[in-house]
Amino acid sequence: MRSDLLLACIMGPLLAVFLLKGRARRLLASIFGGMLIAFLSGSISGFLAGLVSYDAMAAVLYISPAVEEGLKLILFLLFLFVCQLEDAELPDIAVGVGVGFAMMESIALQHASGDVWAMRLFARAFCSALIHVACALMLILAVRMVRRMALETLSGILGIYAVTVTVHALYNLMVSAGGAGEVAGYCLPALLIGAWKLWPAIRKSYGR
Amino acid sequence: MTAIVLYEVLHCLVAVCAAVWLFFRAVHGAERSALYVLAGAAACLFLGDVYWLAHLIIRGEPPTIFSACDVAYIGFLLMFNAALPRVEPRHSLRRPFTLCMAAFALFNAAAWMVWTGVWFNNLLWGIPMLVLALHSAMLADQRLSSARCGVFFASLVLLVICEASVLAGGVRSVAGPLCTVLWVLALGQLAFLLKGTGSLKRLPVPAWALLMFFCECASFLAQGAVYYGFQVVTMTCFVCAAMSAVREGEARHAV
Repeated sequence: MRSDLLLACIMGPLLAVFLLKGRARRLLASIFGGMLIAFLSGSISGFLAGLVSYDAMAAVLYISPAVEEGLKLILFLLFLFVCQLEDAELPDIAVGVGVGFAMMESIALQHASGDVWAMRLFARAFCSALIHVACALMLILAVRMVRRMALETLSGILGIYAVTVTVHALYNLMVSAGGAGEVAGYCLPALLIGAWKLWPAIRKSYGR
Repeated sequence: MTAIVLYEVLHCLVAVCAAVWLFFRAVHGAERSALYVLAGAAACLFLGDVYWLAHLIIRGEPPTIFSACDVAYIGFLLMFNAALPRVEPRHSLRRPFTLCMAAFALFNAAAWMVWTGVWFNNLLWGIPMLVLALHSAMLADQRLSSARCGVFFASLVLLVICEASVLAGGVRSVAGPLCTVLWVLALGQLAFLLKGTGSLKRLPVPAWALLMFFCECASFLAQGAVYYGFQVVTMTCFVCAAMSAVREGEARHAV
């Protein structure tokens, strides 16, 4: 990912972080953070792919998901410790980080793809936003475990990180397939977000 | 290849059924957090299998290098470990059974490295396996019979010698079947040791975790049908652990 793209995109959110206050500032800060880690993860993935001599597709399938989700988790932990967030505030931050990440990635994607049918690019960018938001929402569970600070907490956090990496890698794999696989891949994050929205209703219906 | 794909599909179905069942038991019942984490562990298994199958369908070959399906299986081990009850390490680390299981986990990790020649991937597998073995052994090491422990240690020593001789260049066609027999005997002895005077059906979750760890180790040092045989036993142990966790939660809730 090119650094001039990053510089062109981050100025608006960065300015808003300084001008706004309260929840709005935190939301814009999370969007800014998401854009920054998208840039960083592009650079790190590219460096690692060069190190182990992977081509672009192998890097997308095997390296990018681990790097991207790892950086998101680090950013979450940073927010948790710096802003002293309550559990109820975590979804807002997760959505902000996911949207910021996807925004930066979509700009890079558009820059790299050249002449692509606008609707196809829109679908790709929209679903990319969905998967990043879905993975960020899953990482909330890991961040909530940090508060418990027990020996098995670390293994739980890494377990949730492994789930997000696998979901992200599965999405990348299916989208790379084209045809029905690509459509199924686009449906995966939508299903996850749908499950997240339905969760309170499920708990209410089945819970004691 | 068809048999392997069929096995993966079945494995995938069992994992998703276990995940959904545990999830709804967690929503509905008491002792929720452990069941949620176990449901997450089953979901990891499911995702790993789905990734493996999707890779086979889309790319025409199974994922060969360290991929997301390995990450998912490692996540499964980590989440299973997180679902076990808390333990105070200072009180249990010095017990011979715990030390023995930790040493056995280290031996296995070293053996995978020697066999495959790949140290980084095996290190990533070895650490969660060691953590799971240590944690579950500390929890299981409460009222173990010393005589049965002695027999189990002896069987482990024999097993380690046999596996080491194979890895050091021994004839696999001769020592390989002997290793398989020793793995089965040691597994039987471990189950006998853990059940004590009770029934195998009533084993607690940490005991099933330990049996699962043992079967996983046995499969990783095996090939072909033996590998898949031990993998089936591993999955059975996980399902038994899930049933045991649900039963324990209900029993505590009833009290």
